[in-house]
Amino acid sequence: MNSEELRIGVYVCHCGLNIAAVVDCAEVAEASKSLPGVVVSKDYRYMCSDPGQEMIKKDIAEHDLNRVVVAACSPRMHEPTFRKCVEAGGINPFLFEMANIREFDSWCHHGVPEEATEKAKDLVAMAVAKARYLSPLETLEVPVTPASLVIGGGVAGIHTALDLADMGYKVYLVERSSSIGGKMAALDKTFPTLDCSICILGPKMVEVAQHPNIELMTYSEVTKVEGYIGNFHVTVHTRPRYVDEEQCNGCGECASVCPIEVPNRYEEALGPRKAIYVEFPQAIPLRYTIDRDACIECFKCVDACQEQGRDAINFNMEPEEVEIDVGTITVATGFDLYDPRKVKQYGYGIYPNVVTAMEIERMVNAAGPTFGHVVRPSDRRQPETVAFVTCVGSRDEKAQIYCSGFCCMYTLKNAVLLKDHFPEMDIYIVFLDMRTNFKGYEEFYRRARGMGIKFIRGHPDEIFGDPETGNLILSLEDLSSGRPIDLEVELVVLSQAAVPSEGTKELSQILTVSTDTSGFFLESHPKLKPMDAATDGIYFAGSAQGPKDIPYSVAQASAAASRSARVMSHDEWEIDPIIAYVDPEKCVKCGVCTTKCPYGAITIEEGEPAVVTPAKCHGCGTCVADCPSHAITQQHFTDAQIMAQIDAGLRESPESKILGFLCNWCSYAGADLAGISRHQFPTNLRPIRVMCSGRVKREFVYEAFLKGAGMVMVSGCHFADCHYITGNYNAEKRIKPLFNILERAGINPKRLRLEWFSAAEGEYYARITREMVALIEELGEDQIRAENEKAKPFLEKLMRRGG
Amino acid sequence: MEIPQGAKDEIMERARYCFGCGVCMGGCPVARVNEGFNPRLLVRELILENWEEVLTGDAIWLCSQCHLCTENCPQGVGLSELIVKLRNLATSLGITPPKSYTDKIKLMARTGRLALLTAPTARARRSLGLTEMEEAEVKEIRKLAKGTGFETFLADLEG
Amino acid sequence: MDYALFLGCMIPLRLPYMEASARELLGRFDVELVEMPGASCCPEPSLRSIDERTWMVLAARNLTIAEEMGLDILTLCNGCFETLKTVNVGLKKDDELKEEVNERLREVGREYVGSVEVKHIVEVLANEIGLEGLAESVEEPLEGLRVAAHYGCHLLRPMSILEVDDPVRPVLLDQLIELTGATSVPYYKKNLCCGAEVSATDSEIGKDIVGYKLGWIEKAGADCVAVVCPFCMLQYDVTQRLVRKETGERFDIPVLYYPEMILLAMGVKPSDLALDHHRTPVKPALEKIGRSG
Repeated sequence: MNSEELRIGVYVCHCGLNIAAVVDCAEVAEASKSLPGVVVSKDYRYMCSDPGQEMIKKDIAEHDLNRVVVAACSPRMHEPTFRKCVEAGGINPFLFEMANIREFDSWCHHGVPEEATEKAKDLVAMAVAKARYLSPLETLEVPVTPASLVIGGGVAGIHTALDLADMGYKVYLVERSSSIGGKMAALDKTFPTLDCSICILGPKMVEVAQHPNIELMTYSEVTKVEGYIGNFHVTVHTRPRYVDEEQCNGCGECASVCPIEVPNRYEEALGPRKAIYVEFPQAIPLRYTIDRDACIECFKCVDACQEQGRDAINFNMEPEEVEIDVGTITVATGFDLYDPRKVKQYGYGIYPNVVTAMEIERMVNAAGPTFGHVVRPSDRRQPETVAFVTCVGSRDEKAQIYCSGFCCMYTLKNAVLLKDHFPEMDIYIVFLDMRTNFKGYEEFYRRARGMGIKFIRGHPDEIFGDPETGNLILSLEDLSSGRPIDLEVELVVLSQAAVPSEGTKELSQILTVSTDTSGFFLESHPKLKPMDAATDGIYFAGSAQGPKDIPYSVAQASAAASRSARVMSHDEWEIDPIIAYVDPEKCVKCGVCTTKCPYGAITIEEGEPAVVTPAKCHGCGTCVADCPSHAITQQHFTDAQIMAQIDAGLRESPESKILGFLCNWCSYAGADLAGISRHQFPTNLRPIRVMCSGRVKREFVYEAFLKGAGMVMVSGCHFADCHYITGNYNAEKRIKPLFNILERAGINPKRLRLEWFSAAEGEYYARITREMVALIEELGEDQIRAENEKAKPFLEKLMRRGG
Repeated sequence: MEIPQGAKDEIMERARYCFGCGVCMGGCPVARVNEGFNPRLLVRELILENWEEVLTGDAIWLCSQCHLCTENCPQGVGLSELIVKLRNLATSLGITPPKSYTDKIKLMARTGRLALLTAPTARARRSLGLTEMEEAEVKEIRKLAKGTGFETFLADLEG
Repeated sequence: MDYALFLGCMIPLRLPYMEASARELLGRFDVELVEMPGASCCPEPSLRSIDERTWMVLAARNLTIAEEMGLDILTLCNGCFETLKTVNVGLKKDDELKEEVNERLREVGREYVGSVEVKHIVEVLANEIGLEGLAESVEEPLEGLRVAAHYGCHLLRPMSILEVDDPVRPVLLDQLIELTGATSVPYYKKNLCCGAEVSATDSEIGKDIVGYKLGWIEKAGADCVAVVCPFCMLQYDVTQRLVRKETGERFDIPVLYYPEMILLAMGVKPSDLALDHHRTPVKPALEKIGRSG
């Protein structure tokens, strides 16, 4: 508690009708006048607008305010906006608190305006209670390394790297395979212009290789990332090519003498490569690699290379590990294609003449394994009839529920290429919808029809391969006529859905960024920040964030570059000072905190109190909650502030309330999403935002029940997805024993819930809220009150003991 | 026709996800041989709220309950399971099921079985060295039918 | 292995030769089949369509008979399998539903507890006795016999409840056929229903469906059809006689019940298998593989 007189200004935003249509903002503002410390309480249509912000600044001056509370949208939306505003008004930006009465109230309770208004009053009271305990804080300034890491060398990664390099920044481009280029390098032509794919990508790839600011690290992967925005410390692991990149000049004499042939992944296994190989002729870097699994160590390649006067082959190469420092990271790891074998009813892998779109792409390519001839795998004959099937593994709850976005277009493209090369070929496209919604796309669809490609609206329930002829029969309802048909063709081409590329889950954990429910990287805001990760300093480009075509990927790549440049164009970047510090007087030097911190930010010398290194502390609060002597404090999320929020949240009819702790990165965001998606559920939950579930002390739970709560929920990220790596593990370890403890105290253990859900799981949050309210109703307020009474002495004892 | 909202909701909960792909039709044995039968259109009628037409029509009784539609549907509509619900609903609203259904039920109510043991079959059993068939516990079955309220339907059937 | 044998209605009352061959086969592998006293119709799906609750209660009643015997149920009919397993799985999952059903069952002195499993003979043959064990017993392989395997609908679907085999590309029956030395031929619309269920309501549709299936079976060059369900047997064997091709001819493709097939492969004489009880003559298929003696 501060010694100065508190003068709090409360502002209740209508957000147009978003809040005001449900919550009576004037009533909330009026009720808030009587909260301790409040001297001004107003409501207004758009607090974030110019006049709204002016009003706050004016009031700060006129009424000598020293704390400001705005009740409006989610702090994840506008906390930065209002912090800047109050700072401009003359008070420290951390003396500001937000109450979320939109995502957490009006948007999810629109059927019950009176209850929603009462809830808004509680939420404001909680924010005011916290505000009373806020202290001024100074932001940390951290230096920014003017270098950037781009993970993934496909068309998106290449463009991000080139943009940043052209701006003068050093770029590390890390690519997993032996050459950059990605999926686009393997395409024949690109829609809707039918440009030769490698012809337009090739020059960009060369530019990357030649750019003085780009350090290209191929055959490499990112294995560790530490640090924070402006100061990432990255470990890159490079696999051995067994060919010295400096000495090799890509002449290919080694490959010409190599006796071993294996299927070439680039050619969709339709064509071979040697054990010593480049994936494709335009590979960058044009340096050979030896596949040791295939290599028989005959050393003919060594001889051939020496005959050329070089000695590039080195079977003793070891993997290398390099550590680099960068200020920002862009993730451009692209996509994979859904394994068509999983769509069993279509018979890929069972019937030889069912192929994929990528296989056709390689066949049609004049430089491909069949030199531009499209042939049936069973008899190498050109098919007279071909059927393309779309939505393979997408829009299907048994596979992927989403629409993969670009498959309609690539199907059209493949069909157009086939018809163009082989005009006599009878070509069908079997489709559900034709999604052609960008520039030139619908025109391309018309062009396809004009060429005589036949469109059949429908979706096959099965494909059968005739063992004698090798022909395929597709069973489907022809929707245009409403009759089931059996379409017999000589070749079937499947257009599979794009799925997250292999290794996405692992990389997301290395970077501590989230993935969405479909497994793609999760953007910070679907509309306003589609290329930002929630973690500052990390950006997305291309299909890594969701299936995209080339124009969209390139656009997002440049956008990601500009987001990175926005940070790197400063010498210093401001970091929120939401960090921990140890009170040396209270510290008993047990060292428990040092075992809990995943960043090594707390250290302890023999016989000395523990010390936090501010720049290393990420602000999870786990050490704070696990310190047995309560010696550590987290700035801006102190015990006093949180206790005050608990008390305020439960000030009225506590038995009907659920006191919920939600973590900023996952569960709070997920709850926001529930409101954004307009899921509806009862109003009982009173939320308290913490940076991490690891912050939640047992005392908070006891306090909630002592103040009469009906239920308490502690929530955070899914395990292995915690933004602070181990925060949720520690939270679970700490909170789990409470089920037994509460039961012993006389409280039904079902009244405590531990929930782990992600920022993408709004629906889940809505559902569990309904479940929790159902339990409260089932038990009844009388029983809850009785249990709380019974437990009081026991819980008070635990509080006194300090947990 | 007064159709309880709860019954409608139970059916529409899954039916409304149908996006008309026709995979159900592709696999349907009845649709293959009978032009009038189209399970996809059945769902479409429900989405357009033509309940009476669906419940009083022949279509819902012609489904062979092979579950190919339910197994293949990309949107989890569960058509064959919905048809069972529609049949139950129709019956509860007083619509008489086709004779093929009621004949079977009448026989089941009388003998506890779907067929009668004919003399030729009894002879065949003996010649194959099989024992005599035991009687089914019809009394128990009738008592249970009384408990579920089915007895009333049976009474109407048996005239 | 002991099982409570649930015979259902169609096999004992219409197709006793299926019962006989199943008993003969299982008896050779030490499987004891114990009668279920008082068992009734499973009950048949037509009751489910009229009153699902009554259907569930009567099915649960049959399950309690096996529970009292302390034995898992073995069925020889896909329909009985679907009914009994669906109710068994459903009641085990849902305590509230179980209680509602037990309220009725208690009135006749019964109680469902969920202590037994329901198995189809195909599962017992493939998983319990095992493909190897069966293969070892083959003495006169049915070399040259091309068989169209018809699993039937209710052995495989809905997969989420029945969990016997992959519903799209099942293998068990094909494997069982192949171990007899015969060849299981691929054919279009293999997973399609035989039309038995709708046959009763509209016999034309029923005929047309089985005709449609036989058309593709014939095109694949099969000598016979293998079934594992009495309803499928009736459709393929009896209804077939009413079906005419476009040429006006009959298909004349015989139908074998799988136990009959493997018993033949084990050396049993055709005359000992009551194959003359089949309506569509089996002789042509037997002659093809030299077993018409």
